[in-house]
Amino acid sequence: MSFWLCLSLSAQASKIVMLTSLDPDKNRPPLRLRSWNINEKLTERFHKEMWKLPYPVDKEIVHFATAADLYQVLKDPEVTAVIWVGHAGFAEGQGLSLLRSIIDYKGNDLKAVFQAAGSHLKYLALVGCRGQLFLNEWSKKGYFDHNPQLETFGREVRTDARKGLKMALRNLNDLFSKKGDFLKQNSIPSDNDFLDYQTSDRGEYFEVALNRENDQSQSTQFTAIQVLQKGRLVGFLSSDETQARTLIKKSKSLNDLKLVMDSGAPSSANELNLGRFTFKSDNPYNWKVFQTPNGKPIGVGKHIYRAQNTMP
Amino acid sequence: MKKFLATITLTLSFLISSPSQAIVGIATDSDATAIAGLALMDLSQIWIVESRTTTRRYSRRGWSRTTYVTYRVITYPAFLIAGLVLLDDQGRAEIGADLSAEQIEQAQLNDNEVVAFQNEIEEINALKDMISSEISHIEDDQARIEEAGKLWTEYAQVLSKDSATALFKLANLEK
Repeated sequence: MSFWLCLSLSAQASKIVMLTSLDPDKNRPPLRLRSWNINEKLTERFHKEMWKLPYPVDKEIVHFATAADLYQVLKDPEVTAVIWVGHAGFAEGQGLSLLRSIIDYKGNDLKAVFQAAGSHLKYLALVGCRGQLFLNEWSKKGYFDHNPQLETFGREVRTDARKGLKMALRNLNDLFSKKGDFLKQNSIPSDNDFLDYQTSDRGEYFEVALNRENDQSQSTQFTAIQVLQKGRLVGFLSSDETQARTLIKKSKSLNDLKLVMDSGAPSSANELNLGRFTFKSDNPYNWKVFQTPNGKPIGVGKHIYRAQNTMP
Repeated sequence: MKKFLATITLTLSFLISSPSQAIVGIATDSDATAIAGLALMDLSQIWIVESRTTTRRYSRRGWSRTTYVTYRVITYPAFLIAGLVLLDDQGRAEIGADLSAEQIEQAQLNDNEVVAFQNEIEEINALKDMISSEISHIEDDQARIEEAGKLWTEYAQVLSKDSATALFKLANLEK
């Protein structure tokens, strides 16, 4: 009887996903054996703290998480809490330069992917150095306006992986104490092709179909692409996707319609294959890649497509 | 015995210790950032519990034994740094679009130049990445700077005139 009770409770439970993106060989403290593995330590800590939660919660751990994993989890309607553990940098540099990066274990920046957080998400913890500063900046820019119930956690200081994870889970436990089982969903929302923040005001956007093909000079596998419009995530293509539907925010200014295809890879990256994009839309626009006079796309980890009006 | 162990531990810690920024550099295998020292304060608080027992003769009738427990909080990065996996990232610097009024005034940018610079910030950063990639194989610093200058001159032609002018003025301001 108790077995079936547990099973039924579990079926209604919320789901927490912890994504970590740390290379064990590069994240081993000094004077430790080669067998010391940060991912195993984080798994242990996660399970230890999860036992203390007062409500039944389904859980999943993804190590070596990439931008595609994060995008999928943030959009998954069954996932109501996401904990990200990875390296991050937030600083104002001297003069014109600034540093904003949340990187995966390969060094690819995926900070823009966090904008994919759906309206079903109740808890987002960013365990990385100065994670709170990112969350503050995103809130200020209105990235989570479509989800006023979202609780977030981050720290304003440099953060140790295990300590940060422990604090994120204890913060979740405190929220359970204050709010009850706030992660629980009465019904699971339907899956959405587009991003949740766009669907709340669909009239402000128009649809554009993206298609990417191999550049003539390259035949390696495609890289995953974050599609950005004025810094806002409007679409995502995993490394095996060649087509996507996106919603672009309407504007009279062609400059605002510019699209950035960003792999997140640093300028030192080699053998990236972003592909060449073509676009289809009912609106009178076309997009051309920003390139040198001899036809070479400008940029290393990202290519820029400038909008042109096709009306005479 | 406890005092002896405490003394050994503290002595070793002093031997290991160095300015906090150097510790960060070792621990994270990266250059220390300017604010790392301050930020470390959060990680470095340690509670030390000391227990001392004293025996004192109260009167002719006997002896009294008292135990004192004291708590001390000390700030000492070297203790904890060894086991930490700090999640920082030096990342890659980008050119930001937000210009302060002071920067605009000092660089003597007009309104068109400011707007063009902000509108083409993605293109400017893409150019910066490409130039950075193309000069990365040059070992000599001076040669690298010269090559970067040539490439900026060549590639700036793909930017609008106002944007290129703004970039030039701001770059000179940086010097």
